[in-house]
Amino acid sequence: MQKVLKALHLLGAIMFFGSILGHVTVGLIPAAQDDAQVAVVARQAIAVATSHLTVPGLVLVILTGMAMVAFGKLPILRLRWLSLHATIALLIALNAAFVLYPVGQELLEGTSLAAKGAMPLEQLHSMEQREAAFGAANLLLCLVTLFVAVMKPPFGKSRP
Amino acid sequence: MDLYALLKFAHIVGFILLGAGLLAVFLSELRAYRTDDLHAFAEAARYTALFYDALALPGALILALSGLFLVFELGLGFFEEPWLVGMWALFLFEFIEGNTVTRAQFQRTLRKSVQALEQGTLTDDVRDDARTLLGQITHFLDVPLFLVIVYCGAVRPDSWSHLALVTGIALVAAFVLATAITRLAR
Repeated sequence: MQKVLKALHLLGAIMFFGSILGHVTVGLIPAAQDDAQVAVVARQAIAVATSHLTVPGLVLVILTGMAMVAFGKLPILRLRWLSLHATIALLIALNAAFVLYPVGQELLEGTSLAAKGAMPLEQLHSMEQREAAFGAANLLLCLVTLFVAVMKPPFGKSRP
Repeated sequence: MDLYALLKFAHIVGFILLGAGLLAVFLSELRAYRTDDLHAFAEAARYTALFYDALALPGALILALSGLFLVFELGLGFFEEPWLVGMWALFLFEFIEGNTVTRAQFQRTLRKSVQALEQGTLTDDVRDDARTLLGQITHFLDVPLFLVIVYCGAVRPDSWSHLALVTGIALVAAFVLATAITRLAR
């Protein structure tokens, strides 16, 4: 059971973390920042990846993580690496749900309007900068939480 | 710092990059199959090429190198453990297929899509010409076989019949995906 949960946990991490890397890669498309027609297709691609990979991946990784703790009877408060891993995962989920997802929706609507000529693309730059900053933070947090989960550092003596 | 844990970390990062690339390519191609918009059709081909080169290829290289060192570090033989044979054999198959058939396929798709964009028409003939049957088969094999590799690494099936079963399920899944998506997506 734990092994299957671990496989699903890894799959969820691949879907969630991988889709964020996919969003970053879409930004490498030439003219995605300057041409409204190219930008709207890029935003649609990000929206599709968000609904098919990012959100399901996040749900899967959280549910399987909780199930592994519950079925494995892991003392989450005594294992400090696990406490840190879960805390960072919570921060990632909050950042994704309350900052990145809404900004992504607004940018999709904005670029759609820009592609129709109803809004200059430059108006979206401040929102794009916010997405870039919080997205980079999430990427870094993903790497740190993965590192913690693999290395399992002891962080000194645990509480009795 | 523990070398085994560092190699394992690199191996999982490789999995994430490769998985990201393959899943992104899958979605990108799905968009190309479903869209009636010529611009989106051409863009999808460009995205597919980008995702292969920016995510799947670096991920595969990290996975291969860290996996090789992990085998030596753990002192495992290459042929003793069914799960390990499943991991490296399926990975090798995907790596060779991905850099020969699939690479030629997505370059052809990109070329044909750009031509279609220049001509301004998206017909069924243009769609069929952009994606060959062999290319479609190898494309739809990618994700199911990748999932078997992940399964082998996490669950570690200890019998050859278990490995054959999951590989068989992946092949059936690939066939179903290839049949359903190419026929129903339009």
